[in-house]
Amino acid sequence: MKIKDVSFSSLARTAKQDSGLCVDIGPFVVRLRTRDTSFLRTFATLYQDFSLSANAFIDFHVDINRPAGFRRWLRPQIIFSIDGHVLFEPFPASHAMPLFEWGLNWCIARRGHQNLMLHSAVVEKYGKAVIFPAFPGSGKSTLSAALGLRGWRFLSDEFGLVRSRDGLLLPMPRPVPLKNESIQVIRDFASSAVMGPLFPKTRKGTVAHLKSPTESVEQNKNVVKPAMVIFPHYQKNSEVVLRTLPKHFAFLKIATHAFNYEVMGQTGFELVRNIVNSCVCFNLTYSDLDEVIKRLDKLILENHGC
Amino acid sequence: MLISSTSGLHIEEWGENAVVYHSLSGDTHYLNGLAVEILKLIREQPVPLKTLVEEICATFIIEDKTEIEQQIKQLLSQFSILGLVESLSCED
Repeated sequence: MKIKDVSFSSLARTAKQDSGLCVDIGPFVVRLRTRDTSFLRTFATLYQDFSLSANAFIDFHVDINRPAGFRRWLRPQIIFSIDGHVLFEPFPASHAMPLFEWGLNWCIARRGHQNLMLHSAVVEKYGKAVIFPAFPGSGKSTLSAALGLRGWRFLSDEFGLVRSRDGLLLPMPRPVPLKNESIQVIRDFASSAVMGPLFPKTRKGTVAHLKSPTESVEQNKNVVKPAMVIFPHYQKNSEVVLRTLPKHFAFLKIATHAFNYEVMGQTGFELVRNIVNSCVCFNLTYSDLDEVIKRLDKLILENHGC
Repeated sequence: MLISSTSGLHIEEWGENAVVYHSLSGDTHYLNGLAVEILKLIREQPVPLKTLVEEICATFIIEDKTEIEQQIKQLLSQFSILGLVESLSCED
């Protein structure tokens, strides 16, 4: 059953119970417990296409709640806890959604070592996945969100999860946290884009979450083979420039962008090696989303037969 | 002097460039053409320095052995610091 198929009152009631809401986000199941109905309403909008998972193995037990005491009324705060442990400083209560997303990212990055985790966006077309490894601020979230809004399958804006046993990519199409100028860029790019509320004055400026395309969420169990690795770099007023990257450079760059390359040891080396050997690798500089998508559409078509 | 690589070296080559993963240290290193050739030569069995120099000169068609021997010694010294090679014994 999908979240959107359940009435909000029923969701809120379940989220308060010990069993909580068990949400299948693709490779993981998250049990969410919260009494914060404001947060839950935003969550239910952004995660509406995800399935509730009954009696499943739970990977992450997350609570999002307000602390007890005077803080309930005076500048209310919100706390993220995992397995009952509070790991982060509280956020203002109104920032529960960004806290949930960042907290869950942290949990995955710290504990998801059964997969090689690339700090990258991932999209797919014609059964071919494109990995966009990049440092924060390079525009990978905006680019992958825009591709998702133009018919590409969106797998993630943050985690390229490479399955250890076969090197295939696991989708985790959670909402995209757009930051600052990117929010209006995506609004202008696709008026149909569904976004959550604006969260001003976060650590990363103003944040708004973009709901992932329904079709992408519905395919969140369909693994895909990596076909291209593209290192994106947004540069104001730049033309679209795509340069082939030598394999040894690509290897070193991909390893640098892996959260757990060293943790995985030889398996990490072999997974990165296999990606490099099976993919074409590029550096990409761009500024205009329509132009870059046109170029990437052409590129994936050219490599369609590979 | 017999030169040998330590165990657990995994080399991946692309043309004249390569990376090596060293499972004993967990480190990955970028190698140029000369470096990877040296590691490949000493990976199978210990090799005397003199033989190593001769093999490298034959592979890269080098006539001046003195200069290349210095380069090889420098590389071996760096490999030793990284734990990639060891000297097994001294001849003479």
